[in-house]
This record gives sequence, structure tokens and C-alpha cells, in this order.
Amino acid sequence: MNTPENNPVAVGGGVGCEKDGDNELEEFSDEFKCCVCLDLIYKPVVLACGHISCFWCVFEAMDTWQESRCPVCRHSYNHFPSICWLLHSVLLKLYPKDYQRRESQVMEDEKTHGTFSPQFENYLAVSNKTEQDKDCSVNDSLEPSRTSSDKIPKNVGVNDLLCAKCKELLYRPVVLNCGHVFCETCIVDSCNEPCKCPVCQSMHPNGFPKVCLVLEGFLDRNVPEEYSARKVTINNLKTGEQGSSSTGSTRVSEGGQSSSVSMTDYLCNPTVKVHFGVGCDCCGIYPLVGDRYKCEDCFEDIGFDLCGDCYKNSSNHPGRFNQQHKPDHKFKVVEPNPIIILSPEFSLEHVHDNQENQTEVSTLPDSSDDTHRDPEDDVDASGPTNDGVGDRDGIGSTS
Amino acid sequence: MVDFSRVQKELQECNRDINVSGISVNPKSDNLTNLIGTIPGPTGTPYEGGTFKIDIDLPDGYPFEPPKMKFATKVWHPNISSQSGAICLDILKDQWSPALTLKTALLSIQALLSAPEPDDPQDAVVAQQYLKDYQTFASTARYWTESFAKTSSLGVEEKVQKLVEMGFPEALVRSTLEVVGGDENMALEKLCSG
Repeated sequence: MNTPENNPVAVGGGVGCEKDGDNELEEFSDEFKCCVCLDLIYKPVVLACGHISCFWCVFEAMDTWQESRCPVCRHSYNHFPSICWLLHSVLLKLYPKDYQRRESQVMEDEKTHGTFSPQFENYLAVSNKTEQDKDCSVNDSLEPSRTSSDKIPKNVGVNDLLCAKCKELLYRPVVLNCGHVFCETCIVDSCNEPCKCPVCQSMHPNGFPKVCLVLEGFLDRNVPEEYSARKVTINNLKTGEQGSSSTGSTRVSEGGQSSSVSMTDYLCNPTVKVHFGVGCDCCGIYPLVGDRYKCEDCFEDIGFDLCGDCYKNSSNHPGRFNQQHKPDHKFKVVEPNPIIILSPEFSLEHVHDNQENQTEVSTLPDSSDDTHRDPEDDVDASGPTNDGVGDRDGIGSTS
Repeated sequence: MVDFSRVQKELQECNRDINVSGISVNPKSDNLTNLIGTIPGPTGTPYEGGTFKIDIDLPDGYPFEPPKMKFATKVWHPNISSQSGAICLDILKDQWSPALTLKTALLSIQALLSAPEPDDPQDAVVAQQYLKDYQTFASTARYWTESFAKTSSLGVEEKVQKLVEMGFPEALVRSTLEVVGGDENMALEKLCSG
């Protein structure tokens, strides 16, 4: 990927330097290059529009104050999707060295910031407990690579690319908010609005998911025969069930409309509580809307919060940031933070302090702690009406 | 904290196909937060033949915040301030996306040179002229391109001599020319502003 001869840059900052020695790593395909960090996607997150990015890149790109938009197509969304562990395993198999380089890079970053992304092992533990062997395909595929790196099959096979519902090779893959991957047809058939994950039963709130074209292209290229066979089978099924396709498509549009709650409506409605800078650790809604249940026993800086719906459904999802949340932890209802408007001078100082010392955050009154890095600084330091600091605040105006 | 590893990748990628795009980005100093971009004036416009330099400042939040860009080369265009070089372009403001890069932003600026938006002006005087008297606008823009955006064919020594003749000390002239990458117009501006 890198052409050193064109590189006139001698970087002072340490970030880029360590990369120079890594040029002998596998060349990863451009389709798996994250559009935000321009590196190999690490811990892939698939948005409702089907575009893929890294966990942290999506997190950072989300908007604290309003609806977030896909960096690629600007499709709006309100929920931070979970990591797609199927893609994670595929990437780990395809580019073991590069993926591990990314892993250590991200781990280092996470240690500096004191906030961690979800771990695959924890996900397996939870999913195995609740679904027994439903996810064994993913489980089996990863374990050998952990134990003996020599035995990693270089190419990813059909077994790595199975639909979590029909257990066949994925056909027109869609990734739900929970990170599970299905054939598009497997979702349409069981689609009650808003659509629900057939495996973990969590809601997919972002309208009907679009096909993940990168994954589809990958399937088409890497298992072409099996993929076209699946295409034939599914098309035969469709023609067999007369009219099923038409009902399917109407459902799609209904589902899309009913479940796409406009965040703007919430934000404009003074009676609705909006917790800026706080997200739900289960469904991922951000900013959190409605009642906020905050775990009193999770000690992590980032905290553990649930929205009203997820609290009532008493989900057993692991936290979005690898919090060690346990079912016996107690929750309390927390009111939204008042939006503090500070003078620009003070804000700047304050932002600066925060960057140097993360613990400063907790000393703030009512500080929202479900985010970190920039969004948090924004939340505490500048309100939406303060255009002294946050560039986001001034962005409405042209010129 | 700017994501420097991404900036570095961007620079490599942009400068790799410089022959095709004509667009380049280079660091101003040894830190990667201040950069200089260059775009060729689009053919078939009053900016044809010019090479336009753009000052790029990367904010701490880059790439989650847009880069700050303004023209360092003086240019006569409804959406670019003839005084400060400030650019009125949505993707540099609220329409920024972290999937955009310095190169794509520069490409958009190049496209803006081809397709001015006089209804959303940055420079009201230029916009008025564009709307009311396009001929004068075009010739002024062409004249500005000739005067400020043409890469001089002079060699380094001739540039130094020219500036020294204007009364600036030689050592200062040489160091200033080096800083601005040999552009005598920019050097002159810098010398005049002290």
C-alpha cells in the first residue's frame, strides 16, 4: 500500500513513525480499507446503509448533538451498531498479520484513553450462554487461529460466511444493529416491524438494513460457485412462492418508515429528555432519548447506561465498551445534564485540561460519562448555543 | 489530537497520482498540521494556466472536523474572498464527512473554480460583478490568474535578485523564498507583511 519514495514527510509525532517498518505486511484489499482512518478495518461495524468502518471510527464520527450520518453516503442513523464479529473473524483470517498490527495499535490507544472496545471472547461467552450452539460457526472459525497460527487457512471458506438464521452461505448479506449477519431474504420473511434479530431478538431500529455490498462483493469473488448456486436456489424459492416477493417489498417500506424515528423530532421537542453525550449500552441509541438508567456499580469511566426500553427488557448484552457489567448491578434514573454554556476562554482551558487528564471529567457536576475523547469534551465544555469552541456549533452557517 | 497516521497516508496517496490530478499536498514545516495544497486552474475557465496554493490547517479533531482551508494565492472568484482567501464551500463546513480527504476537498475547490455559486457568495463585490457584468468579471479573474497564479519561469537566483532590488535583505529573501516553496509572489507578500 505504501510507496515510501513518494513520502516527503518526516513526522515529529510518534504516531506515524512506527508504521514505516510494517511495509512487509500483507497488502489488504481496498474494499477493507476503513474510509475514516484509511487503514485496515479493525473491529468492523456495519451501518444500516451497509457501509463498514472501524468500531472507534464510527464512534468518533457519531454526532453528539443530532442525528449521525454515514461518512460515506450520509444516510442518517441514531444507533451505534455492535461489532460484526463475522466480518471480524473473516478479516482476522484474511490478513492475520495486518489485523494483529491493528489490534496492538488500537490496544495501545485504548490504554491511553482508558476506554476499551468489546472483546470477542466476552461476546462468545454471552452468546454461547444464551443461544447455546447457535453461533458455533463463528466460534469454531476463530479458535484454531488463536491456538496455532500455522494452521490458519489462508482463504476464507463457506463455513466462515454462513447466515446466522438459515445456516447456509450468505446471500445478499445484511448486518443488523446487533452485528449478526443474515441473508436479506431471511430477514424479510421474519420481518415484524420494526425488524428484530432472529438470533438475539434485539431490535434493528435503523429501518430495513441495506445489503452490505462490500461483503456481497467478497462472497461473489471468493466463493463464486457456491454463491451463484445460492442465487439460483433463492430465486427458485421466490418464483415458487408466488407473490412472496411483492409482500416482502411492501413490508420493507413499512418497516423502514415505522422504525425510523426522527432524532430531529426528539431534539426539537422540549418535553422529551435527551441525554447529550450519553448512549445506551444495549441498543446503542446516541444521544440517549427518554429515561436514562445508569449503573451504579460499574466503575469504568465511561459508565454503563441503558435507555428505558432496554432497561425494561433486561437485556444481558455486554457493555459497548467492555464494561464489566453484571446482572446484579443496581441502576438509578438520571436526569439529563443541563447544557452548560461557558465563556469561550474558560471552555478552551477546560478542553485542554480534559485532554491532559481524563480523570478531570469525573469532577464535573453531573458529567456525562458514556463517551470519551472529543464528544465528551464537547458536552461538558460547550453547549449547542455556544459557538466559541465547538466547530460543530457554528457549522450551520455558510461562509 | 490530529490523526497523523491518516494524514501521512493521505499525503502519500495524493502525491502518488500527482501526474494525473495535478493536485498535491505538502507539509509546510515538519509538523503535519500546517500544509500547503496546490491545484491547477481548470481548463476553459479564467483560472486556466494558473497554479493555486491553498493554506491548510488541520484542527485537533481532524478528520472528524473539517480542515481549515483558504487560498494563499490571490484569486478573483465569487465564493472566495479576494482579501483573505476564505472559501465558501459547504463540505469545508457543515457538509464535511470524515470519509472526505484533503485531496477530495481540493478537488471540490477546483470544481468550485469551474462552477461559481454567485447566489451564495463569499465576496459580494466579485459576485455582483459576476452577475451583472460577466465579461469584466472574466477578464479580471484572468488578469488575477496571470498576475498571481502563474508559476514564474524565473530561476531562484533571478527571483532573489528581483526581490533584493525591491529593497529586501538578501538573507531574508532567501529564507522567505524557501519557506513559501520558491513562489516569488507569496514571498513578496510575506516580506511586505513582515
